[in-house]
Formats: sequence, structure tokens, C-alpha cells
Amino acid sequence: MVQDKEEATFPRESIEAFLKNVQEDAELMSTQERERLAGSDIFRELLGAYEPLDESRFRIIDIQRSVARVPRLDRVILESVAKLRGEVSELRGKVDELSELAQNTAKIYNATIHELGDIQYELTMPIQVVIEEDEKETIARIPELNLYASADTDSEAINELKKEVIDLYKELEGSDRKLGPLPQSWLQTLRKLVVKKNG
Amino acid sequence: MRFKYSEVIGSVQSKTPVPEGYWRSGKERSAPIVIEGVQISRVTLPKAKGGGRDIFEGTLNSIRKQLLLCRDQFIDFVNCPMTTTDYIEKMKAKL
Repeated sequence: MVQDKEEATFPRESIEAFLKNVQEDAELMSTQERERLAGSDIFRELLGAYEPLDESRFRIIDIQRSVARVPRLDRVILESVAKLRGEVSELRGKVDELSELAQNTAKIYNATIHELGDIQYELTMPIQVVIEEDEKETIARIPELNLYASADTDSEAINELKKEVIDLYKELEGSDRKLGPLPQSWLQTLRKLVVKKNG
Repeated sequence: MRFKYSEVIGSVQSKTPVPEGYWRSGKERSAPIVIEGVQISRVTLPKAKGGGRDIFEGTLNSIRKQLLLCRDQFIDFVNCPMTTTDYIEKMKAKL
């Protein structure tokens, strides 16, 4: 037991020697280490003095609200831009369509037929003909008889149309089938316009 | 409305009720459209300038009028949804 007590107690000389060593170590401590220790002391002091930040005392909330408004504004702008983009695209399509239409629009005018170009048939009165002409084709029409003829030029188209008039007249006059309302009206018109020459 | 000569000529020849043999000879370009023994109209085929070429809009409209169809009906007529039976049914209403 006595031996235990002696072992548990440090001799005074040992303690003094230990403290002397510590003091010598502290003196040997570098300036940088001392500054680091001083900094950590300040940090501990600040940590003790910490209080939660009261946002209402500052303008932070207003700023947050302003910032929160920005994404909503962005969305409105983006939606408007998308809508405008759609409308522009639609308009562009219409412009292309109209441009194509303008390019393909035929020149339309009237002409008059005075004779049928056939020794067997003659006209009792001139017939008004509609001519539609574009770069590739020309057609001649008689809307009242629902007839048309196409060719490269207007005179060729008119010539073809004259043949159509005679064909229709022959077909309807010689038909033994019942005629619907339209063919009946064509026949009535043709009987007034076309006369078959005798001989 | 854009169609090729071959499309329109093919549709007219196959779908319009014309007296038998009219188109077969190849000489006739015009034929009466007859439904239940009554002639309701007359159609003239365009002079094909190469089957693959687009038909001039004026010619298309003239054919459409001869077939007594509105624009939308004519598009259906050439594009196939309208069959011969459908066409005849529409024309019967005009008798």
C-alpha cells in the first residue's frame, strides 16, 4: 500500500521540472502559433455573444420579396415571347401562302367567241368566254355551260372550247337519256346559241 | 389545292359514273355523268402534260365544278376518302 501511495504522488521536483519545460516550450512557440491561439480566443468570445439575426430589423425581407417577384416576371415574359413567336410563325406562314398565291394567280380576262369554227354549226349571238392564263397553261371557260378547255395559249384554248361547245350540243341533242336540271338548262342555252346549218 | 394530272385523271376515270366504255377507247376526253339513268353533268379530262406534273389551279377548279363538288369534297374525291358510292350518293341529292 505504502508503495502504491508513493507511486501515485508526484514528487514536487518533478512537477516543477515539468512546468519549467512547459514554460520553455511556450517561449519556443512560434509567432504564428500564438496568433492562431489569440484568434481562437476571439472566436470563442464572439460565439458567446452570438444572437439570432432579426430580419425584420433590416431591409432583407423587402429584398427577398423583390427577388421572389423576378421568376414570376420571367415566366410572364417568356410566355409572352412564346406567344409572339407563335404569332410571328403563323404570320410568316400566311405571307408565304399569299406570296405563293400571288405567284400562281392567273391573269383573268374575258373574250368573245363570234363563231364556232365549224362549217356545220354557227352561233346566233356571240358567247362571253373567261380566260385564265398563267405561266404554264391557259384555260378558256364558259361558266354557263360548265365547259372548259386548256392549252398553251389563249387562242388555242378558245379553239378547243369551240369544239367542246359543239360536242356538248351534239351530245345533248342526240341523247335519249333523261337530263338532269343542269344538262337541261345547258341544252336550252345551246338551242338559243347554236344553229345547225342545213346541208 | 395541288394535285398531279395522274391523280385527278385516275380519280375521275375510276370514280365518276359514266356510261360504260367511255374512257376505254382513250379517244374521248369528255363524258356524261349519269346516275340512275339521268345525266347530271359532264366531265372533261385535262390534257395531261406529264402525269407527274401539278395541274393548273384553274383547270382543277373547272373539273371540280363539272363534278359538282365543293373544294373540300373535291379534295376528298382525289385523295381517296370519297368512294364511287359516296360520290353517287352526293349526286343523287342534286337530282
